[in-house]
Parts: sequence; structure tokens; C-alpha cells
Amino acid sequence: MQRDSVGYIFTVAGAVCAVCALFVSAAAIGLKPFQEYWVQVDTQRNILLAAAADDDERAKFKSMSGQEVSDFFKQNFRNIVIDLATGEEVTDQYEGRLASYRQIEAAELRKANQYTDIPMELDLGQIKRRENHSHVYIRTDSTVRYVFPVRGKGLWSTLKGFLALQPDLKTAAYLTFYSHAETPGLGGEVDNAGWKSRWNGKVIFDDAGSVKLTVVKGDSKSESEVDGLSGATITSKGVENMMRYWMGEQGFGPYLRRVRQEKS
Amino acid sequence: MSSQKKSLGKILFGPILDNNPIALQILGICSALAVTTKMDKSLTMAIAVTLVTAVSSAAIASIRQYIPGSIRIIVQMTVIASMVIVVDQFLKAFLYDVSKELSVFVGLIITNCIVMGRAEGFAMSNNTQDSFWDGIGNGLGYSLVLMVIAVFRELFGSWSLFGYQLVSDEFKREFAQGLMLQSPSAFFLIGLFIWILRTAKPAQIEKA
Repeated sequence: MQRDSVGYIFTVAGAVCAVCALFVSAAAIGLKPFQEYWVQVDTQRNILLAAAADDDERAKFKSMSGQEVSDFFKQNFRNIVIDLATGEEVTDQYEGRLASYRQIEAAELRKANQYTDIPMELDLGQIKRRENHSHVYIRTDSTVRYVFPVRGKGLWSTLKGFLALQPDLKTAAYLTFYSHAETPGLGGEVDNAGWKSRWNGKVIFDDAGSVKLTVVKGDSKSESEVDGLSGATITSKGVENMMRYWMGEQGFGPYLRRVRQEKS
Repeated sequence: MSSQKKSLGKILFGPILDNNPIALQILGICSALAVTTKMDKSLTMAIAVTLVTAVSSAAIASIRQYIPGSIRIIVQMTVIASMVIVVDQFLKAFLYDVSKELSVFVGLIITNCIVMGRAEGFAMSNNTQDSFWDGIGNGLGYSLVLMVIAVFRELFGSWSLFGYQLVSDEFKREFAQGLMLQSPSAFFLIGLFIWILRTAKPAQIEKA
């Protein structure tokens, strides 16, 4: 065949693509187990950071190796799955695939029977869809913490993170974000350790059990006000709405009520 | 085909100082600005670029007689892009933390002019073995600049090397140069590097 004929060009192009595709697919499939291990370690590390007792322990978790993180998680955490609507535990439905259940994917990729559309007037976090079942991570050693995955819209992006509650299930302990794309230096400061530690000890619920926490401008005057980020009004408001949504009836409200009842 | 055959030593070590891809060819500046804030990031990036350049140059050289001239750039891009994806997958599997920090810049190796430049400028007209070593050499030239800049940026920006903090926290707070962590500082440093290099090797100065 002539070297510049159309047929030859197509043959070469096809052959190059086929060989390259083979290499890429082989790498992607062959390395997947290793990649998933790291994604899992990353999630567990973020949960550990949210559930840490204090900044010293947080620094320790940050410098742990992957193996140490998963060992610590295995020994000191109980991972359950709950039905958000009823608050009931449904962990036994996830036997053998607990770690691989990705709740955000269930909602964002609209997996059949795994998500619910949120009515617009209730959609405080502006996430449109909510998964039916959510993970809850309970730290069970000397520091007891309940860690909840939360997410909601800030100014530019959906903030995804973990909220840790004290064992009384009324008081916040820490709030971390592992993924967001807010303006660096302004809204991006949600990730700032100084701001995150302000959440410690903030009372989220009033006595009737509804959310009373607010993010305010200027100094916080009560135990239920968090000082917002300057120059980041919309991101701060987004975090407040996210809290109201996930701690409210649409989110973990039913579960929290159930556990509080069991405890008393 | 080149008439006078270059020696292996010249192919391999020429691009490090005499024909440095960043300092003389002024290629690959974008990633040099972006990833040089920390040494571990820079080292990973340097190794990744070196590997990609070497393997893709060798692959392209081995099929250079069969590539039709009209689609040669596309064929080169396909080979380079595949190689970059494979490297990215490896990083995600074995160096997760670094790959998270490098984020999009690993993927952007595809557009790194060094890789493309060597494929088109060298691999298309030389044999497989020479092309491989040429890729390694140019990768090393790129790595040298990256590491030199990263040393200065990490040292003066965060007072650490390879993430190991060298001074007390108080000292760091007082003397850390925020500018060093911003991209413009890499411009100044590359400029200084080129200045020093051309003072030492006046042959590299372009005629005004």
C-alpha cells in the first residue's frame, strides 16, 4: 500500500490507537485495587482527623502511614449504615461491601432505588438529590465521637466533609472538608485549622431537638454561634445551611433522635 | 537521518547543561512554575517526565518509518498521552499523596513541550536506542532545573527540604518568604539560573 494513501493512514491510525488503548486499559484495570486501597485510606484518614480528640492527636493521624490508618480505623471505629428517612440501622444489607458503598456516588450518579430527590424548599444544601442510606462512623475507644458525612454548596463548589459530634450528640467536636473548590484565601479558609477548631463545643440543637446553630458575622456571642469567615459570606452561609440540612429532619435528624432515646 | 553520528555520552549528557530544555530551549516552563514549591513534588514530576519522554521517544522512533507524514503529530500525541495516563495510574496506585498534590499537572505532561519537542525533533529521525537516551537526557536536564528551583523555593518558602522542617516554628513564621511559594518566584529563579548558565557558557548567548 502507498505510504500516503488514505487507506494506509487509517490503518496506521487504527493500529496505533488499538495498541495504546490496550496499554491504557491494562494499566487502569491492573492498578485499580491499589488505587482503591488509597482512596479508602484517604477517606479513613479524613474520618480520623474529624474524630481526633485534640490537635496533637490530629497531627499524629496526619503523619500516620496508610497501614497505620486502616489498622487504627479497624480497631477503634464502628462503621454502620443507616436509613436516613427512618434513622434505622441497615448495616446488615451491606455485608461484604460496606467499605465499597459510596453514598455520594449513589446520589450523584442517580443509582436506581438508592437516592431521593430533595424538594426544592427543603434543599438547604443545594445538592438536589440525597442518598437513601448513609454511612455513620462511631469512634469507640476512650474518645467517643460520631462522625457524619456532610456536603453542601458553598459559593463555587460543593463542599464535602465530615462532621464529628460529641457523645451527647448535641455538641459539635470538629468539622473537616476533604474536597471543595472555594476561592483560595477567602472561602477556601473553611479548610483552615483555626476556623475548624472553632466548631469544638458548639451546641447544634436546642432542647426540642431542632437545629439552632448559626454562622454569624463578627464575634460569636452564644454557644450556638460560629464566627463566620471574613470575606466569605456565601461560603459561610453554605456551611451553615449544610449543617441545618444534615442535622435536620432531611438528614441525620431521625437517626440522632433514635440514638438519644436509646441512651436515655 | 543525521549524517554525523552523535556519541551516546553526548546524547545523554548534552541536554543537561549544553542544551538544557528549560534554560536553552525554553520548553516546559509551565510545569516548572507549578510543581516546584516542594521537593518531593518536583522529584516525582521530574521522574515522571523523564520516563514519559524516554519511553514515548523510543516508541515513536521504533515506528517512525511507518508513520505517515500527514498524521505524524497526532500519532505522537496518542503515544505520549497513553504513556502519561499509564504513569498517572501508577502514581495514583503507589504514590497517592504526591499524586493528589500534583493533581492535574501529571495529566498536563501531555502538553509539556519537551516531550512533544523531542518526539518531533529527535525521535522522528533517529533510531530507537538513541531516542530513548535522548529522552532520558532531556528528562534529566528538566529534572536538574526543577530540583534546583525546588530547593530554593522550599528552603526559603517553608524552611524545609523534602518536607523535613529545618528550623523552629517561630523562625519559620518570622522568615518564611511567601513569595517563594507563588509562581512568579519560579520565573525569577529560572531567570537567574539561565543567567548563571550563560555566564559560564557564553556560547549559549543568542546574538542580539
